Amino acid sequence: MARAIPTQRRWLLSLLAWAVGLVIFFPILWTVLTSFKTEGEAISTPPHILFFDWTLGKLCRGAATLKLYPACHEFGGDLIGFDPDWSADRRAGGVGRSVRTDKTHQETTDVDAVD
Amino acid sequence: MATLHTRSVARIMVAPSVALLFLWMAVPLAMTLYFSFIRFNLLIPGPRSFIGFDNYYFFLTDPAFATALGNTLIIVGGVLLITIVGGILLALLLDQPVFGQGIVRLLVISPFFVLPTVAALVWKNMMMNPVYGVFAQLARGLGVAPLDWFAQVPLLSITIIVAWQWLPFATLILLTALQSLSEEQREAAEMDGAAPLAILFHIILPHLARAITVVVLIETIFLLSVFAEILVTTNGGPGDATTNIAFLVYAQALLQFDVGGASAGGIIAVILANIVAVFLMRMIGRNLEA
Repeated sequence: MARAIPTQRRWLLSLLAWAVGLVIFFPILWTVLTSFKTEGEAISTPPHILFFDWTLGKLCRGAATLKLYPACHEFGGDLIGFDPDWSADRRAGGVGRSVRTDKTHQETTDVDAVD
Repeated sequence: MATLHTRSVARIMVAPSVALLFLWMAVPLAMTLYFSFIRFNLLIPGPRSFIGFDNYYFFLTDPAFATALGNTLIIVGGVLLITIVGGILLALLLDQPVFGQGIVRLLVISPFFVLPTVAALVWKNMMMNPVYGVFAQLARGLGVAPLDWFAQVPLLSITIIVAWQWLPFATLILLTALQSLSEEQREAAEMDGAAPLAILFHIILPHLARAITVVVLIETIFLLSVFAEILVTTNGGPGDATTNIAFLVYAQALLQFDVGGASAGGIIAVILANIVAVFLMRMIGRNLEA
């Protein structure tokens, strides 16, 4: 970097580089965001980008499926609707329930109605 | 100075790895060759008799073969085109001093760390799904009818996914090559009044020629055998629209249980890859000579 770059040019280049970088990174970012969603929210139309009910349920289930983590009681397993025996959960037809973070000890609610 | 004694010791010491390589490479190849000359269908019991080149004839006259060959070439060519052009542009951009350069580089390189199967599933279910995929949502937001990617443009979809995975590789190689270009050379050209485009075509691109060659050769090796992306997204379909040679061999062996035919297909794929390699080395390999 021998030469000085005009500040305006540098800002424009930065903007362009960040935009391109985020576009290329977007599928991964979207995957990470979706991992915090419930099944219903993951496929909602129009999508909820940041303002949805953040839940660890799916991540917990993934970790348990990979045998990385025994169960999800620390995260309030039953509260989130996580069932260690996920085939039983499937039989019951539950595809994922969300936790109401503001009302801690309430019954689990079913998938939020889309919109 | 290697004496006769040290040389024989060295031979003994490399012997285990040579033996291992032999076991891992020569034996499977030999077995594939053997299987390709016998009648070996898992659904047809009976003696595995020698049938000469029948398996090869069967595989080469399969109507799906020509399609598969074309699809293979389209995938390789399309991904190479996207990654080389995109990689050069990205490398030029990332070479500039921008704010948060390290983070931007990390963002651009990140797709390379995603497993092919995972990448394909992410694109299939979250990007290209015609109902809730991001592209469909964007199209609906703009008031356009969403595209059903894997039904309407299956080959293009596969190419996009694979190109997304390989773009970081091309960018990385080209960026390192670009960083070895001396600043004085560029400055001298500027002082002589060369336009930016002239600098690009007469200084930067010739400088990148060898790196581009490396990218083309390495990517071609891997792209000839694209498989996971096809299996998890379209399963070779619709029809045989996205079947490439690797997938055709898989279908022959594990969907039609014809081990002999699949082995012949594998040998044909090896021969084709060698033909492509010869052409590539003829065309661009001279860039590699120092």
